[in-house]
Amino acid sequence: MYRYVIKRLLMLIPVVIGVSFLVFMVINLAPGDIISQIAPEDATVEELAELRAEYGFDKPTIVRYFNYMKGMLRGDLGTSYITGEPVFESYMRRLPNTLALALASIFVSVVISIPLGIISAVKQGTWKDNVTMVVALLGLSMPNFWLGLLLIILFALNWGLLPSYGYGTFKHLILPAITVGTGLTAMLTRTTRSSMLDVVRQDYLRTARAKGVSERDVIYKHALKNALIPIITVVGTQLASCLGGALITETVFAWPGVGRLILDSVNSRDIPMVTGCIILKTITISIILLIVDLLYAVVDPRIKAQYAGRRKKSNG
Amino acid sequence: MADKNVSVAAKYKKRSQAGEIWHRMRKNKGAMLGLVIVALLVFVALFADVFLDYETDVIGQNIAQRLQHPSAQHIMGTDDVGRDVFARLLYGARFSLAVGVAAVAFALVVGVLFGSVAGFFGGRIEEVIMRISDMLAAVPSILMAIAIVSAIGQSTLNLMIAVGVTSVPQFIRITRAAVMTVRNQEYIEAAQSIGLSKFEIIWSHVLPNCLSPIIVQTTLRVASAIISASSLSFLGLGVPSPDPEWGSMLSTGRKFIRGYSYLTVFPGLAIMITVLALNLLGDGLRDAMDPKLKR
Amino acid sequence: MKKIITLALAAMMLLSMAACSGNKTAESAPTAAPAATEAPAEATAAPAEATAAPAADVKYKESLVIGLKAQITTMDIQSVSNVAHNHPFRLTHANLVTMNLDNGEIYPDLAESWNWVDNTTIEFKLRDAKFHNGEPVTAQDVVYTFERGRDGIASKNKMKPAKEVIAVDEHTVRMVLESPNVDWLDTIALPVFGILSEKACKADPDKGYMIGAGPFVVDEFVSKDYLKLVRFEDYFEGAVPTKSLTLRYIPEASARLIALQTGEIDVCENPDTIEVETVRNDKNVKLIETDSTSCQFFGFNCKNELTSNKKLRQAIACAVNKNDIMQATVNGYGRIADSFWGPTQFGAIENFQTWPHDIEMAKQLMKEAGFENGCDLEITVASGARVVTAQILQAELKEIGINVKINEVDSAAMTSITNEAKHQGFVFGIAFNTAGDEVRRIYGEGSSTNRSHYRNERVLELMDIAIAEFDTEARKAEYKEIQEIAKDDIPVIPLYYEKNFWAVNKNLGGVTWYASSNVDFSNVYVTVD
Repeated sequence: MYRYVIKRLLMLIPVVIGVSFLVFMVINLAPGDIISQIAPEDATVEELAELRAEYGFDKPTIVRYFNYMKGMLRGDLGTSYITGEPVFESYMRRLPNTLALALASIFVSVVISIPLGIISAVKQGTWKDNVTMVVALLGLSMPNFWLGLLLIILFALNWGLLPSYGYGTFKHLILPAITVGTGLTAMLTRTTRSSMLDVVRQDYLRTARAKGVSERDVIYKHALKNALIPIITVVGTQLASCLGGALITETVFAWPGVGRLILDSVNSRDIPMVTGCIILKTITISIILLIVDLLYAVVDPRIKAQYAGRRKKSNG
Repeated sequence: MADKNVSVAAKYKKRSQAGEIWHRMRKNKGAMLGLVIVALLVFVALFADVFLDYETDVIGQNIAQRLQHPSAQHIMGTDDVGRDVFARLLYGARFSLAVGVAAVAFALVVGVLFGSVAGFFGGRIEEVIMRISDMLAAVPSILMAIAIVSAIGQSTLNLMIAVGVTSVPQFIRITRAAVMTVRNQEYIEAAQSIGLSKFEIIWSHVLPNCLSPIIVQTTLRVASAIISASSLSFLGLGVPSPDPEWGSMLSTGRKFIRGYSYLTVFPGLAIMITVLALNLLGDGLRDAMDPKLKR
Repeated sequence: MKKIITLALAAMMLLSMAACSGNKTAESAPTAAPAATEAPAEATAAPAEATAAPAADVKYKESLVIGLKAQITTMDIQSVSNVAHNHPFRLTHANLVTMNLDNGEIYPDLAESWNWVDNTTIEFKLRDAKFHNGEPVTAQDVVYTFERGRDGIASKNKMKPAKEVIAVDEHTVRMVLESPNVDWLDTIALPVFGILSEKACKADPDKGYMIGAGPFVVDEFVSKDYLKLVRFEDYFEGAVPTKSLTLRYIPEASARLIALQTGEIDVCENPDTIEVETVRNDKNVKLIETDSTSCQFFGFNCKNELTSNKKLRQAIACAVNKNDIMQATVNGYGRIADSFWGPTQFGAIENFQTWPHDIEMAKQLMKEAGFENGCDLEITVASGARVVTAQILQAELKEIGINVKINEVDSAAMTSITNEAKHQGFVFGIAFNTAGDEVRRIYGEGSSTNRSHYRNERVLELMDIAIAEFDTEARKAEYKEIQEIAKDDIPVIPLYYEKNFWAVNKNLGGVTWYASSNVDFSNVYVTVD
């Protein structure tokens, strides 16, 4: 198991190299560069060219990539062209905001979805099932900016219950978390429902029922546990995508998260910031996904055996 | 008696697998409703030209008539340059469905292929596929979209590719997870023991048993693809103006949300109904294809 | 199963109705809500208010929040020059002189007086003032500031006219210019030339530039998020009324306005024009409306094969209905622009005669241009509000046979496409200042804001004559000639000047709102009643 973890962490190295290369090339492919963003309006065309040379843009992209990676070997992710701050610092300052929003959203989504999913699986085909489905899909069909603004209008403007923007306290977290969480609900509810349906019909549940285990225990102790794998997968991928930043929600609620940072940097072609942030984001997400994969093993002994099996193989 | 038995057996044999699924699905009212709505949407998308003149009804502007609330004349009101929202909504079915379906179809094919290979074979192949998938997941969709657009220009096709590519990792992970739970089952071992090739096993024994999460994912993804298209058009990377697309209608309507909420409600409803129909259909399909449900 | 659809419809409708009705209650709230909440407390609250109001002098709210639409990325005043950064720079730093941005009048700031020794030499006398770190403002600091300015990305070019800056004594600074320059005082009144403390900058090259002699001290700065300021008690004009001021970035216009309406912030920059009525109807907030010098325009790349055709440009100028564009993009809150010139810029002409909106004339010109059967035109536009302008142009130009393709790009791509002259038509905007020489920005050779790549020998010549012209009337005549040439050549079709809106707390005062969208919040206050 530990070997597996270490191996996975080592696998991060090629991923980081791949991602940084991809991002670096992609952003250089996009038209426009940082110079047009930072140069003053009164700069002449020649001065722009001078500035370009000053920032090394006269060199081929691949050379600049290697220069950047040289810095990275020393653990230096570069400095933002725009703010002059180290990339690592900027990312780390925003990561807690993003983490808070991501976890809160997942929490909202799990709290809504799992019960809804179970109800609709157990009551398959009844009106309860239908209502659940509509509720879950409602969230998916509403774009975040729309739902976000709607919530602000209702909870902040009309009822004065919650702050309309900003961050820092629990109250500030509620509306953004609902906005993101609601969007995630559909997927999770549907996944819960369908994997519960798969499990509910399995033989061992029949056996459990036959042995006189109460229906409640059958559902919660036996069925749910076995339905967890797809649920964890979905939660994991959702958490990962939330950690990339809930771009639109961050915009609507003036929530300074990683998503906005990356978007703004992409828009201003702040190459070190974009590349650095995405590298850091990749590492963050990979760690989350690794934890998800480990959770599989906890939930399902068969998968644990696979990990162990691999160890034996690599030992031998 | 014997005769009857033979004829029943013959009947079953005559019905192909697809026919069997269709037969079972017909009994599911929800699925049929979903199918009808989806068919209707496809019909509208294909034949919008017949009812609407693109130049005048869909993109024809009338500044004097701008921002009219819904009325008998404009049943869904008019937008900020005086175009009829209802006409744009009907025509928009074409663009939105195309974006949603094409993007998801792309992600589905690529994702399921690589996901099932990763899940079934494990080992080094799995590692490589999963790491590439992680890389893909790490590049933000906006960046991807900007790059694609700058490389081949802004168009609806590029929007599909951008949305599709960013959905691939999800499909890979979901498929792989589902395959992992299936691959140790006895019937796979049985299939192996009778000497079926690996791809035969994946195709006819593993995948059919992993379908439900994949179908659920697919039907939901179409919706989120339409919503993603809306975020991308909010960032200027959507369907080129002035083509109507539900997502871009939503995103341009958002600044009018307080005074003219109909501008966002109707495209929102259109997306909602589409999503609902696709899910009803998806559920029906899932149930109909589920081998465990065979009666 | 119909139930599901019905339910879905009902849910959607319910939500949207909640939002709509929310809107209505919001409008009527100001009259109803205060009455409702204060009613129970009336007995105690009313007398308290009665004694407090007349007896005590005016009380000010201690800390205010300003909601901005753009990010503050850096506080190094010499590294960036735009309206978004001018807001904070004006608060933290003091210049030698300041300018009334509406009429171009120059006022003393750190310099109490100045005089032109000759055409190219000017001397400033400094007053006694302190920096935020307690150090006195000396001539040496001024010299340091301007010398540092030669390297600053935003100040570098603006320093070009200055040959040397010398400290004559502790309180006297002399500047020698390369050539006579009537606009030099305008230049050094720009926020990029806020005076820096030499000591602070040398002690801490990374943050020392935040130390200025302005009315507010930087307390906390998180780039791209917020800037927290506290008032400078030793400010040379006396401490300002508000103790603490936070400038916070709130990108979404509707959310920003709501934050104002809920009282979470005190100033909301540029609420969307669609919500102007909402602001007017809310009794807790007021609307500040100023004319703006920001001009939206439709330009052409004069280096492009197609759009270098002058007749074609003239034809398009006749086909454009500026009024429709103004209606659709800013809901009519603006002024039609006739000449591509700042309305407050020196040399502006009232009722300038330009191309009429005349489709027949346009068609005739198309014929003369050699495009009787129409042509294809690509309009490049940055995402956002201007896309609507492009869409309307697309519809309007169809009438004269021009088939427009809209190329929507992000703003970084937009600047580089226009700089590299890879465009045909384009929609853009520019904010003019008051100086006559601003014309160099739009028609000057090699200027990166000359996005049309327009070049006319006579115009270039006139610009050089005008900048050295000390006779006002002659100068005006020269600028008039430029405008007439430009009207004929029509590298740019000016569309309209935007109105500039701010929504603020109803008790707010002390702010100077300029037409160039610049705002001076130095003396901002909100009275507490």
